[in-house]
Amino acid sequence: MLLQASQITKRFGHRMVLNALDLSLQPGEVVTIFGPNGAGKTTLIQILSTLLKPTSGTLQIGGINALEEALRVRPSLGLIVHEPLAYLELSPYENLKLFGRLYGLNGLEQRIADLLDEVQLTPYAHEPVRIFSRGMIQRFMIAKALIHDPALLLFDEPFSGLDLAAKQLVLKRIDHERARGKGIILTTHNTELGYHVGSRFHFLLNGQIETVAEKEDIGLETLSREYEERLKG
Amino acid sequence: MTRTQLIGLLSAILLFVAIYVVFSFAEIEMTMLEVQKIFYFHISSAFTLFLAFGVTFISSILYLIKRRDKHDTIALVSTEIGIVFGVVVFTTGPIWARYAWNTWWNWEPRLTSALILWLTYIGYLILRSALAEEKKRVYSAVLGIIGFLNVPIVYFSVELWQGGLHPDTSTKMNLPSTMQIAWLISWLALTLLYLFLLMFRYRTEQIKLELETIQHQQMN
Amino acid sequence: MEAFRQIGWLIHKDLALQFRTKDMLALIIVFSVLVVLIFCFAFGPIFPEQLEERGKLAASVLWGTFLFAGIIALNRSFDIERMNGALHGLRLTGVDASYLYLSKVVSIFLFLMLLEVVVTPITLQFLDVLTVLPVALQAQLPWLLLKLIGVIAIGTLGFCAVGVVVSGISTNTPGKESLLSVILLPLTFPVVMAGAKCTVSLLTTGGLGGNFWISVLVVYSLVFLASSYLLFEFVVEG
Repeated sequence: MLLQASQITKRFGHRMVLNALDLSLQPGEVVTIFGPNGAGKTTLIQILSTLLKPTSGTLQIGGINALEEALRVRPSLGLIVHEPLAYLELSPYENLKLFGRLYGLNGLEQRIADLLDEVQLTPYAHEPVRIFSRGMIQRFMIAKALIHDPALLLFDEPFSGLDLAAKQLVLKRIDHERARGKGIILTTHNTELGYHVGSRFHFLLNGQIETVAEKEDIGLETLSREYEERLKG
Repeated sequence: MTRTQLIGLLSAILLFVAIYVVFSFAEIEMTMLEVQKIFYFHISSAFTLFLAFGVTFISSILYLIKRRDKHDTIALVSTEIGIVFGVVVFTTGPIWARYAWNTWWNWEPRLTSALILWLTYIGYLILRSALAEEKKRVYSAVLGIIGFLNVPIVYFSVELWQGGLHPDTSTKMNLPSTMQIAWLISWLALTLLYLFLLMFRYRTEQIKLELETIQHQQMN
Repeated sequence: MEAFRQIGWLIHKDLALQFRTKDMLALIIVFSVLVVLIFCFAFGPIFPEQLEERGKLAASVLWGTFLFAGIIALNRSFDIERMNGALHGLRLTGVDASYLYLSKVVSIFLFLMLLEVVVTPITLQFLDVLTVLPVALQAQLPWLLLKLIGVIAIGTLGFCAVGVVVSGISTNTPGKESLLSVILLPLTFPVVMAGAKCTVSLLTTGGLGGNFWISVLVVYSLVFLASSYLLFEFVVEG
């Protein structure tokens, strides 16, 4: 069991954002969580990445208690959210070098070169990230999230604000990592792409999570219809 | 009668006793006459100021270790009360100094240390009001600890800074017995007052938090 | 040791960022010189004749200026971490929060030292301190300046020790610069008292006149380095 979240509750002051969520993930699975804005998707991803502590509940990653031993668990995670989580004044190369060193990686130069090549950023390897387009920053974020070859990937709205080419790259990447046996959780409100890439689907509505179905058991149209009905009700 | 009410009653009684003792029982000091009597309340308030912020310090440590909300509430409430006692210190102090040394402010070590501490904990309240709910308690606890660690260093620095320029204000041991009694009673009265205010204010804050929780539950 | 290497890389990153935006160092130097000039115009054109008075003036100007510049540097350093979630990127590597603390203290210390090495001689020149020095001291001027920079260094270290943790807790608020000043300044008063006293002593006698004040600076630095090292985990992780 790669990730096991149990009864995760999060309150900000008096506002209940997540209400007793359960979620699990095995290697090779891609879990897509659909939800509208404000449903708590970002908060959930932040908690699963151990960057935010839940009000109550337990979280196990790779069998380790992620709430007590967050520092031990984090090197197994790759996170992609709206913010780059990096230094825009530095180049992709410098960023990857810094984070690679902090992760304690070997053969860093080669890794960086290969990764930048895969995300097609090699010509810009030494330009400050600040000047990149949104799509290029997204590609940089993918490289940064994968530099340490994490077993678990967390994506918060990976498709928003991207052009078609960048979306294709993200889809390909998710597929590729799944094939390599990684576990992936992503949140999105894009039913089509989320369905395409996922192997299991959940709805996150008003802070509560519902298991919908495995991919084999449901078609895109049915899923979209159910999702829309939930949004109305 | 609850514990809080009991302490409140005791402190009220003692305050009246203190007023009587200070104004009728204690001797009139020779150089300053009646004005000297403000000093009893001044020095007792200064003590409670340090006590209040000391309580904030301990509660902040306890909160960071145990993460029980009650420690944070005590830290907050004690800080508020400490600041109020500070106002008393910085009004009675200058009044006394004006008649003792002909100046409104004289950089006396304890007074100056109290001022710096007071400013630090005003910063504590400002910080709390600026922070979002999520980080408020942890961050103010950090400040509550750091602020108090500064106290001995500040105190020692100001004493050194003065280099013994001032007449020693700690002449308590040489006081005639009536004055010693007045000093003791006013100290006890104000300490009990602090305790009462702490317990009362703590309870008020608790009720306020419970009320908010219920209100929000009703809204949801 | 792994810890030193990680801290080393973090310091390297901070310094690269601080000097990458070249205008930052220039801006702070210009700011400091302007503050010094304000004091010069307020006190001048004829400064106190007596060496001790002149020395006190120089000490006040130096320590006041460095405090204000230090606050700007602290704010700037944490702004960089806050923007784009860079700090979260660091957290995700599993690096110890205390290493983040040490690296920040060292990099801001180095940055401020660079500023102080430039501004101190300029200040002493503007206030014409060097000409009123006793002849004996004038002969050993480089040595005197070195000792002065040494004292300023210990004071700066203490400032950074407290400043980094206070900056950490106030950076995520509206009005963070003013809030940082309000919280930090009372905490730095011992540094100002001790630092100024040491400065005056150096300028008038060439020595520290007993170890009291320098000990205050050292104790201050140690107390706050130790306590902030432990507390920074709460600042980063909450």
